[in-house]
Amino acid sequence: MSFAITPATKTPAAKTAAAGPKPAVQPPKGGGGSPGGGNLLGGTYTFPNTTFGAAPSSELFQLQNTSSAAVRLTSAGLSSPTPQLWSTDISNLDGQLFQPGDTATFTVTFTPPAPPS
Amino acid sequence: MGSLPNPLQTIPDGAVDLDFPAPQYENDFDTIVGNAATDSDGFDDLFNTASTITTEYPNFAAGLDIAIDLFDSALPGLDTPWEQDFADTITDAITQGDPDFEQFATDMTGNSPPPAGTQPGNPAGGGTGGGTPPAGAIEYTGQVSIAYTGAQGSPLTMNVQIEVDPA
Repeated sequence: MSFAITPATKTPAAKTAAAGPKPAVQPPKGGGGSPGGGNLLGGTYTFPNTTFGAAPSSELFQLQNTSSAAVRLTSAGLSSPTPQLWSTDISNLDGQLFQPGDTATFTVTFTPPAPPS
Repeated sequence: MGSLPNPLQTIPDGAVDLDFPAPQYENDFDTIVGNAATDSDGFDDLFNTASTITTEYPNFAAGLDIAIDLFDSALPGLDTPWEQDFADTITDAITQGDPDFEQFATDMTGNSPPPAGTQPGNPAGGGTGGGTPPAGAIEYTGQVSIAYTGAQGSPLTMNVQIEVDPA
């Protein structure tokens, strides 16, 4: 386990699932709502429901090196069957060295499609 | 260790009693049960009835009633108040659990996703979609992947999902 991801702010609708002995991504702090606030790596974060044609929904996540050794993030990205609807700035962290306890944040944004015709 | 005679000798006639002994167990059975379970009292009918009803569950409880009534007739005084309670309990359990099993089967075959409110980590009743998605709702998913060096471990992933409902 070297990282943890948790929600970092905002909406109180995080949900977590299975966390393993790995780095952790955590949803935004202050938002609350994530039962237990556990590590989202290996699990699922569910955005609050939205509607077709609504404004984009963004969530801020905190990435933290939870291991006792320095870890370098070599690549990060987001894949999806609908890539045009999702975006993230996590690739900005590529190559970044995380000392034990170091944190960084990244954002995941979902843009709802137009209503089906 | 002994040795066999050489050459082998034939066994004299009558040296071994090959007659079957008297069926003592039958005597014991009669002693204990009396004539309550003889053919004339319909034991075969009772046994066949019990065998038949256990081949199919839906008939089991009803059939058990019949079989025990017959046993009651054959063995007066055999009270079975537990049987109805047993049947009632089984019936109630199946009635209550059946919808859950049906839904589980549906979910497992992918015919419908579990309601958002029942998914891991989703705050129940959080105002963001607990319960059954409305008609026309679509769930979109993605996966954040992170690769790193300097520590043991495979690339890390975090799934993201969102339900988009009709306006």
